[in-house]
Amino acid sequence: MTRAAAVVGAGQTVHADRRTDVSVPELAREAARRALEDAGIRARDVDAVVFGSGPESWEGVNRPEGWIGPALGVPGKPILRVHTGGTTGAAATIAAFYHVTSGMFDVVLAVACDKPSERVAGGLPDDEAGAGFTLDTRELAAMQARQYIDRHYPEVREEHGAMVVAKNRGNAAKNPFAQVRTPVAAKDVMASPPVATPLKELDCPPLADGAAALVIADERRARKIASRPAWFAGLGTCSAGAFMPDFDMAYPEPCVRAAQIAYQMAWIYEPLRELDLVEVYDAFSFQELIWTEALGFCNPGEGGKMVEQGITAMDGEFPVNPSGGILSANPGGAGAMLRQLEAALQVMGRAGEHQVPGVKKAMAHSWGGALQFSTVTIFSHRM
Amino acid sequence: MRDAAVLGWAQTEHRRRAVGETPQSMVFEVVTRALASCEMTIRDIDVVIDAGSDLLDGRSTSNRAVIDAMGAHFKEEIKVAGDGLEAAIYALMRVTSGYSSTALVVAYGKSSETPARCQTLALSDPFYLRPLAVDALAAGALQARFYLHEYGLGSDAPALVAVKNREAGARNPYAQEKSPVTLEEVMASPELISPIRRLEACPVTDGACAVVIADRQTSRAASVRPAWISGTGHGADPYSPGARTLYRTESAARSARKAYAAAGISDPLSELGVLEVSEYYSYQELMLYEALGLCGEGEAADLLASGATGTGGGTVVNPSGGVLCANPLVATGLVRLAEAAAQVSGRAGEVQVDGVDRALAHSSGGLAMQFSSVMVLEG
Repeated sequence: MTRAAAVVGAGQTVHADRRTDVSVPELAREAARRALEDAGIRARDVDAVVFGSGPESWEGVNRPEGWIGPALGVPGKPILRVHTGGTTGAAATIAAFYHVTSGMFDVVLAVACDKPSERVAGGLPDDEAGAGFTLDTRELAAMQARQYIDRHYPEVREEHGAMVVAKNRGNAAKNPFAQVRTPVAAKDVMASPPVATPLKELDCPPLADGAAALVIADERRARKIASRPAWFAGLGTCSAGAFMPDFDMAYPEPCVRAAQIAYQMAWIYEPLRELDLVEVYDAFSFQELIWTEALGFCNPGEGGKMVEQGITAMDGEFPVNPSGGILSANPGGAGAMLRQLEAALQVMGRAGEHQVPGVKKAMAHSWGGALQFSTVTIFSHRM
Repeated sequence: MRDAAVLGWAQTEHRRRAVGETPQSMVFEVVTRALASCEMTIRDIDVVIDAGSDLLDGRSTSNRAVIDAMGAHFKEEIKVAGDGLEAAIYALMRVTSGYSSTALVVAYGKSSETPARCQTLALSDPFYLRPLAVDALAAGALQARFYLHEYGLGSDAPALVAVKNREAGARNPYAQEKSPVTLEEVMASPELISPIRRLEACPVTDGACAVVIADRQTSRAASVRPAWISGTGHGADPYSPGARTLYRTESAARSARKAYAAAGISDPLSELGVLEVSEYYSYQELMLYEALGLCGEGEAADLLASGATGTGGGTVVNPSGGVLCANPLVATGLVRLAEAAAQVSGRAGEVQVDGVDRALAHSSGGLAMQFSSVMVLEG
């Protein structure tokens, strides 16, 4: 018999282009403090910490948890750092889940933080794959979007990416923590300057300084701490190798496999019917459509229809990114934890203005690396 | 607690400069050999936990580049950005949670390609310590000075650690430093930062290590003798050296107490046959005797001088030669685990100590041993 675990508290910072008022440890502390306050527990109730942050070249500090950890307000606790690119924040939550389900710890604080405004632009590129021809994330996402549109045209067109942006920016207007809260129309997105075709400026995310934190507890503590915990129902991760000439970017297999693992754990057979909403890592507009398909909410090529018909709108049949997603707030490695935080809050009925009514099961997704890493987390209102 | 065991392991022959090797080739080698050592194939592995360093690799999100080499393609895989022993602790959580049966732990470091000071100076924060050039060596020297001063020890006390470990390393086919040194040679070697001398500091090493951890059921059915994990602990001290009692390593003491409680150990000196500890500098091994409960505070030099922790002693510390004989950064702590597992399962070859029932593996990280991890194994 495995041990159950749940999210019982959540905290995030305001995500902004440049947080000049705080250092990296202070930024992380802000989210950690809010999560502890939200759970209504004290520092001494926490048994261990999992910390996630992006490339060391962003903080410019080796083993940043050594510097940042003591600022989190829970001194002397065991701390472990995970770093898996874009999925870092989700990997931290998942590690916290295993801290608890292993029986080694009862209450674990997971924190993810990044302050890219202070980074060296470009970070440390990979010698073997990228540095030689400056393939960065935008170019990679453009290649992915091109492959996706080409495969499914005319069912999927550039306009569908623009519709995703309009939807998510509209949702973000209701999210007080979002970085970009001004709505845009699809035609504004289409008219924005090209970045790497088919991506235009507004198809791409902002980059934020920000942090997120979750308190994760075992069954006994969770019931004590929260009246309505968000129980972990299923988790899956999958990594793909770096050398993948036949990698299908329009239907990424790591995402498909991570979802399969999570669905199997959560006993979910028909994701669209059994789940109430999903928060996906929409770092670029078209990716929301690609992940919606790869996670099994519709068939390949039907992502465009999902957004065009309003199915994925906040008041639609299956809301995608009611928080506004990464397109509205992109704090590096913390972004993946934000997806989980938002999904958990929806299940707890505490998402505020962007709460979707009656959410019982919600999913969070993230991707990282050169599309190599995927994580999927499913929360349920019942254990 | 016999919920999980170390079943297989492999390490490279550690070298100052592994010319012709890449991180991928080193990783592929140890993964292949570790799986073979417990008669498994990569198909038997449920989850891969790796340790790596962006700064050491000169690459953002370093694990991206070694997924193929680890055999982690299309598997659950997570990078722990710390020492390999911390990755092993996470792997232990994964198999004891009941969701996975087997985990492969991989760690590697190719320090010859990165200026060492870049690595260790980056451990200090940009505001307070870095302007003072506090790197691992400077922080270590400061700590060594505190320790020697507190107990009125001469600088020849830690030098004896180097003599003991280099004597042991000479028997270890995987060690980088294979020649014994005399006390006179250690004392005559140049001071890097007083009181740490050249022969009392870890070498720069290229190397890798892989370990297979499995749950109870898999371990019981294994064709090899399992090294059962009976206790573990990890912890951190305050970041600023000024906020600590620097002549003690509290996080190691706390981690050990937790592990001993789980393993039912009350007198580590008589109950542990072997300890493999991460002594990046000679004085650290003395501090660790005290933190790990082998002796009282300030008594480590006497314990060492008594021969109890050396070859033929009752509680041999670093029969592999320890970190002073090979320091494949990031993999350093995982090598300690591999050595400890080898000792309790009678597979340690040339460095085998007779009749080891229980062994401890320790790792540290950060400035002046800010982070500590321990794992207790039994046969």
